[in-house]
Amino acid sequence: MRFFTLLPLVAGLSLASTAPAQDADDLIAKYEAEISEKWVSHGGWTLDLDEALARAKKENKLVFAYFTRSYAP
Amino acid sequence: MESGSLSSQDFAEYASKDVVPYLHVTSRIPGNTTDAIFRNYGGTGFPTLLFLDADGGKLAKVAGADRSVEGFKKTEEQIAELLELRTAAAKGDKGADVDLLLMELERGLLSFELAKEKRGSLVTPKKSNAEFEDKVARIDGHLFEFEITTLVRSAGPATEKRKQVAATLYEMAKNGRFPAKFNYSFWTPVMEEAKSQGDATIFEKGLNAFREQYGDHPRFESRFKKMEADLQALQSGSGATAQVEVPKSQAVVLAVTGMR
Repeated sequence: MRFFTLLPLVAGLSLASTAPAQDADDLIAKYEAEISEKWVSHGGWTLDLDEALARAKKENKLVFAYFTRSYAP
Repeated sequence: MESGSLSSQDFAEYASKDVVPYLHVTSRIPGNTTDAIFRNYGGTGFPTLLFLDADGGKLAKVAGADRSVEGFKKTEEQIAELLELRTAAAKGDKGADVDLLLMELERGLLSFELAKEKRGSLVTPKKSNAEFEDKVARIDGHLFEFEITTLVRSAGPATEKRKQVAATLYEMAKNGRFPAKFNYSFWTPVMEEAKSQGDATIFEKGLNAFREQYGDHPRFESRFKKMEADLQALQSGSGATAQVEVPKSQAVVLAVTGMR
């Protein structure tokens, strides 16, 4: 195996170990669980980017965008 | 972070008064079209925290060390500096365009294409100006690193595409374009390509760059021996077809790339 080819392979193995094939129902359940967590309602987050941008424009504020995932811990 | 700073009372107050909090959850649910938003903002890992303007433009990425309300406010101060500079550049203030581009590059706010376009639009002062030239040299250094990253990321998993990228990086090296600081993602494919081309000169440059970076690394000792043998074979004209030796374990790769 070549040196250059090893890096994506390592990255791939790492991803593979954290994201096994999952069915749609499982992924939906995980997503629902994530957005139902206490910290989400606590922070008053919006899940719609267009809505966030429109509010930012109207209220003359910045958007504080937090990106996370639900398919893996 | 979710059970820490984002769950604090300070954050709830900050989120309700100072900003519009937007949560994006990458779900990988088949058919979901919003997962792409993360990639479109150049996201590479979770969690990622960005400040956006009301048009969706990226204004800042919050570093791990600053992920507290205090840190968020500090980032807002940095955004204010950026916006002031943008206003000055838009008005045509002297030197503001070069300062702005440098800041945007250092803060990772531009795509490579846009950064290149902005570099091409910089107005050079009529009189020689050492400060301007120094800033432009720094911009060019950032752009070169950015070009390498963009190229390497574009390779993806396809072997053929990776070979093309390696050939492009090798041509850069042949034309005397080297990153100012050691760049593993640059030198590894360049050395591989140099070897397949039978180019001892470029291979040796790569070996020297590795030596400078990892010369004292005990795990690299055997690799250096192999590289030296490869170099000797190239110099004698007999090593054009062999492949560059690879470390035997993931641990070595992670150690030498500083990924752990």
